[in-house]
Amino acid sequence: MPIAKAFDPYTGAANGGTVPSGGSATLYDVPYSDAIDLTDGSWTLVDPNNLIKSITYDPATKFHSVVWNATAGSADLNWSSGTNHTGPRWYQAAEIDGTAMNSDDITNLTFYIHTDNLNRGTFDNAIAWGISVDPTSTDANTIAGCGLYANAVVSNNNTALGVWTVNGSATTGIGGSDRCVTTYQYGGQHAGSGCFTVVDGASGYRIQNGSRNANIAIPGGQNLNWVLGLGTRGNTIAIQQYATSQRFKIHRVAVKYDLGAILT
Amino acid sequence: MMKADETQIVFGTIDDIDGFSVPLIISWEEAVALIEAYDPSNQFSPPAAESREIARVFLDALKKAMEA
Repeated sequence: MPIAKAFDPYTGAANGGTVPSGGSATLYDVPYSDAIDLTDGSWTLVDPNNLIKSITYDPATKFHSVVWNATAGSADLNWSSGTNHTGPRWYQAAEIDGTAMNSDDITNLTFYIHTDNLNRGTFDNAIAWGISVDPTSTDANTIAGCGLYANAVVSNNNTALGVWTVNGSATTGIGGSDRCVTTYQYGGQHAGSGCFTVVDGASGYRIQNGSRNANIAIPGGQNLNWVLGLGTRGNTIAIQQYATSQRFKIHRVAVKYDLGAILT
Repeated sequence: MMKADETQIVFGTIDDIDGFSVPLIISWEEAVALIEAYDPSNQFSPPAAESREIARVFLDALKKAMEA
């Protein structure tokens, strides 16, 4: 006899044994989001120094391609360093089934990236893909961005992949690495911690793994945002006019458990 | 007693530096004693013997990680 589902595991709403509304019918093999298209109109670009010349999304391969305007090297373009972040970033309100994610709640976020090692860009570049309190700010702690980090040295043949914590990162690049799953526990008025597994594209097995803690508190009661930031791998990397950065494809999934129900 | 957390030594890119991250663990009591005795304005602080003891904990762990 099949087991009737009493609650939607995503919304908590009673289902009365019917097919759940929204989300997956089970917590096993929970689907990721569809491949994210930063050009679909639902994302807002903040580009303090007007560095993005163009971004295109290939609906067939799901990869983004970015062309840059020229700029001198600056630590502010490095999402893994310093106190100011002026690199271009796209953001979108973070919601689960239409409910805004809030900085008070501990949420579990899983980010996925697939980078294109054959199109690694023309300068040493980096991708920060995560969650943020205020992605419109240029202050690293106000942005409070955390999630997945990817960086590519033009002369290498793999992507270093791992975890992004506000203005730091821990990544590893090995054996043609180009895919990574980073799970980040964020919120409870703190920027939390993340762990990652660099995965083999054929088997899905682990190539490398690691972790990193963030060390800042975040303000309470703030709605959160998804953020995708682009920048340089290093503090002195100049960008030439019409330069390109590494092509990438991204997914995500988020879960908020009902902690309040078990606290007392 | 200070020791390296040898199971947590990581080789990767930490804040854009390609290399090793070697976590060290030190008891509260020893940390207090070391910091109380340390004078950043004195170029001869900490004493050589103390410095060597700390360095050897780090280097032994690093050596083991690099030769693994």
